[in-house]
Amino acid sequence: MSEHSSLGTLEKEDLIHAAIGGGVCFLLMFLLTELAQIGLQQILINLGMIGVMVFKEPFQIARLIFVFGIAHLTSGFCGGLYTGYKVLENMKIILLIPGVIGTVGFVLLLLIMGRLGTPDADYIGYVLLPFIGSVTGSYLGGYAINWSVEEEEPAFEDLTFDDTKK
Amino acid sequence: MQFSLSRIRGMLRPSLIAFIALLIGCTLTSFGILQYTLSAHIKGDYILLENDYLALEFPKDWLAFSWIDHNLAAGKSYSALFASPHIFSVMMFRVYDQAATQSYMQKNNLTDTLSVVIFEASRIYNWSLENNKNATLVFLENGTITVSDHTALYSSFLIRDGFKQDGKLYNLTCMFISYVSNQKLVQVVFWGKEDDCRQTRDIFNTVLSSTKVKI
Repeated sequence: MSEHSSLGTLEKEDLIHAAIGGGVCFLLMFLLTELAQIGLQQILINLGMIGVMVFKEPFQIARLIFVFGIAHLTSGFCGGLYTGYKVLENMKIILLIPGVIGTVGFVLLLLIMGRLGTPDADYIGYVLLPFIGSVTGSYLGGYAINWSVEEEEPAFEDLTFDDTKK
Repeated sequence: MQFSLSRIRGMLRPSLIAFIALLIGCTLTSFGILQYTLSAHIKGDYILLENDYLALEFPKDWLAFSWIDHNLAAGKSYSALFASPHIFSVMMFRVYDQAATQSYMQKNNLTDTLSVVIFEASRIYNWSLENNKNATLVFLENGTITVSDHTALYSSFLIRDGFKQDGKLYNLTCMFISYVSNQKLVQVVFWGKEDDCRQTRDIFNTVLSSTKVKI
């Protein structure tokens, strides 16, 4: 009974940490999406090639890929990093949560801002890519900080320099 | 203080490497697409923009937007806008199809090219009055100019103290060009702060001489 209760508490804590990771993912996604778009234009101005914007389709594709990497993937990675740091078990399921929460929050915010909900809205750029990016980033971040325990166990004695031993 | 090789080895985890690779890959792919697009249309320091409505060359370091306006009462119009990112100097090209031309003329009670030029000049002046109620309109020059092998009417005018920036008032200059061919209206506008327009006058002339209206 006691063991079951302990397991339940642990799962609840895991979910809370995953939700906080989702919050981190959402906040970063919102900030980085804006920053990436402004940043891309600023880079193009500095490179003296901002005129390329007139070619709508290639520019739109390039912009989506850039924002995917800089904003969606990175925000998911940071959310996953936090979650992976706090949660040690059930990573395969738990790491899905930050990405999903981040995307849902982001989509809700866009709906409130009026960027979604119209027939001509960019659903690929504002829904599909944020979802794929944040979920992928979340798994990469989670496993980056919390790589499997077997990997951590040294197969041989590590070389250690200890400056306390002289 | 302890220095362990396992720490370094531990940092280089496949997922972290995959993340960095994806990040770099996305950035490089994005700029690769832009560079490829640019190289396919570049002509020296100018970019060749060519579509069903017009063909022209504009500076590659200028902001450029184009759009088709379907929301007119009738027909549609194609617009292309070019602006310097560093100074206030703007060029705009607008091409109306037959139905849109007729609708635009009727709606604004316009009869010919000259009335179009005067109407648009007064529209720009009214816009500048929102910045400064004491702005004054001074017509500098009227005449004809060749655009895309057509003789077009133009009017150059100055709006004294017509633009407010950082609490200071500046003179606006504007050149409005218009012609009608096959009942299709073509408009070209070049406007901005007086000093900025003077700096970019040669660029405007280059863009205008390269312009070919297709409809």
